[in-house]
Amino acid sequence: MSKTLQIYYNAVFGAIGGLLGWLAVGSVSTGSWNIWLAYAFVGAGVGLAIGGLIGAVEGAVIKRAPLRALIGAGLGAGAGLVSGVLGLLIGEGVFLLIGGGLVGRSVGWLLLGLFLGVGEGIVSRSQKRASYGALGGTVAGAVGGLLYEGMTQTFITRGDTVQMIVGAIGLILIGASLGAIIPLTIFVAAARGTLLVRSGRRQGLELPIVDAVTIGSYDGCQLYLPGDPAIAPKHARIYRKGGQFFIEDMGAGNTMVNGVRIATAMPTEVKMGAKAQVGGTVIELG
Amino acid sequence: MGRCMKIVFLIGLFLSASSSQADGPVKVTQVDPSLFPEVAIYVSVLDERGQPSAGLVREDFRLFEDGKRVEIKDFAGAAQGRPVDIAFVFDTTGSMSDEIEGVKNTCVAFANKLRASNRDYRLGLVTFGDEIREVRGPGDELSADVEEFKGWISRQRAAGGGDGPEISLDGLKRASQMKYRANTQKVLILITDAPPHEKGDGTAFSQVKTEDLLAPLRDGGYTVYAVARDDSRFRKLVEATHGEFLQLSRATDFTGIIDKLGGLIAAQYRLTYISGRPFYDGTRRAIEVEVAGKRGSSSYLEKHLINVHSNVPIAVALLVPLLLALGAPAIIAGIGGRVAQRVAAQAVGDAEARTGLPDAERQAAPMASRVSVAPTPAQTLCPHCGNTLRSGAKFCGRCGRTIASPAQVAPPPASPTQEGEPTTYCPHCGRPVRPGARFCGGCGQRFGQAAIIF
Repeated sequence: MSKTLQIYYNAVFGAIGGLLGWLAVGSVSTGSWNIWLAYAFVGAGVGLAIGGLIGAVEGAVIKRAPLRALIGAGLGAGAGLVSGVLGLLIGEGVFLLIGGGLVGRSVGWLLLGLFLGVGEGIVSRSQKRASYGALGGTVAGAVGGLLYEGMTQTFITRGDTVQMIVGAIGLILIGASLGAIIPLTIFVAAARGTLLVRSGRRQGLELPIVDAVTIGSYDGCQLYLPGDPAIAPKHARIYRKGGQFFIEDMGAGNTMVNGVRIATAMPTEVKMGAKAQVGGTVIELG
Repeated sequence: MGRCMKIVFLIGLFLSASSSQADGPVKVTQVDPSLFPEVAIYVSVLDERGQPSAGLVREDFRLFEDGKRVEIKDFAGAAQGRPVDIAFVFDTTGSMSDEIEGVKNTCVAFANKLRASNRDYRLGLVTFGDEIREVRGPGDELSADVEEFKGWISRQRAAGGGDGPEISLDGLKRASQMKYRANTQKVLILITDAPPHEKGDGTAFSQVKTEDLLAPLRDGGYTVYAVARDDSRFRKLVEATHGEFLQLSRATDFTGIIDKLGGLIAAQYRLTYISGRPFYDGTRRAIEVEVAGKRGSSSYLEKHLINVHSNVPIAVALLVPLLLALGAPAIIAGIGGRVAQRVAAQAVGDAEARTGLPDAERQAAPMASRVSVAPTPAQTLCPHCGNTLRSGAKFCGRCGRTIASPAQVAPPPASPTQEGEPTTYCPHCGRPVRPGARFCGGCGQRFGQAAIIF
């Protein structure tokens, strides 16, 4: 699956998350609530739905492993909930501090995006992913937030139905921009190389190498290659160190690089354009 | 400022604030923030004799939001034809039979007066007993036609009711859900001789609690006038919406009540201003109006944008395109694949035509061969031992000898074996090999006993 398609799926999942968040949050009337409570509630609901849906993409679409999708959704929902509550509460504080306005209004969403991006790094235990995720999340939150708040204020005097539709579309846009921009940042800015699957069931799949990519038939591996008995659960690892890429056979003993078998548990340098083979799958480093 | 002075000053502030809470001669009857940041407030002013004071002008008023003076953008007194929407909410149960004719007559008189005053008005009607009986006009639109309104009124008969209390709270709620014009004074006039049923009072009649009705009516900008027997719940509603409570008894002079109501509604001023702090932060804003040194106060809840509303039909309508977007890549890939197949089939067809096969034979050819993208190549046999070779093999898997010219040079096939066959790989180069092979077809590596079976 190409990078573009992966980003596309993330955007669509994020958008569905935004819509579900809107449906859930909007079915409770918060009009008479304390403003802080209302913000926390809306942040929690929207963050949970968007985070959960985006978290499920990898498992559902790329790895096609239902259990992994559920785990991803759970982790994403948790990260989203915390991000939403913190983001919107701090955002409201900043909003009141700087004296309002459209920009002030969007701060909460910006922070939600920032925390969600950091959450992505925490879940994948990668500092680099966390920092680039934060960057992407901040941009996404700001873009989505400005769109949402701008639309809400533009249509503030319209009828209830118009405002309702505008609110839904606004949150869909926030979800879509979070879904698209966080992986886009990782692909474009954070990744120093890409793994391209040249053959096998996952032919055409592109994976960014931020720090390391694990390869195997265990669905927790970043490059999950199921259904090939020649591939060990944790087969090999490709990582970056000191500006060079290395591949390490993690004990399977049948990892090939450019047609030559490499030694087990011994990092071997791989150059750009090199082809590695695990089982029936050829992976190219690009 | 000395410390003592400060304390005295603070006490003074406190006293002035608390005194303004009481019903003074200046009363803010309604705050309408529906067009926020534009806020409209309705103020009634009584003169020294307690009579509505109707001749005031813009310069007589000073307006404050959160203690800061704001400019009055628009001013409308009784003379300016200020629009008013009025819904009558009345009890038509049997107990009202003594009063109903009086009520009907006075409603009609009230409507006639409205028409005579050249006011811009609309009238509506909700009747109730233990249920909502009638809602007028049609489609929840209030009517500008006094004759139409009189028609609705004249058809009312007092009947039924059963127990004592009636669902007056539900009646008010229903009336507040009718269609009012924007920027209009919204008035609900409740007329009943019974206490209200309330949600949770042990009966199933009412779906409304007084407490739940207070905020929506106040924040929706309604003023409730209640003509009823004394009841703390009606008093609460009237107080929250800055309306008036008028005691109903058998000796009630309805003409007097309607005149008073008319006077109260007519002698109101509408002041419009733009909020100085349009934050949409959902905080409560205090409003104060000063006329000739006397102050009246009220407040409103600013809209806050975080107040999200949703409903299922809109959610479904928006979910459908998103699900289509989700399925789009697969659908496009499917169509792309079929197009590619058709192009390939066309190419096969053309090739057959060029080979000069007779038409009949071409038609008899199985469809499969026409649509297959890559026809299965003829199986290659080892020239040394006759073993069947994999496509692209450079070595024979059985005898290990070199194959002079591999039929095709292809990358290792994606799926190495037929389904159900155990998968075997060369431990040297990782290419798939046939089960039981003694040599790797790809690199010629000789296996000790056999290739590794995973």
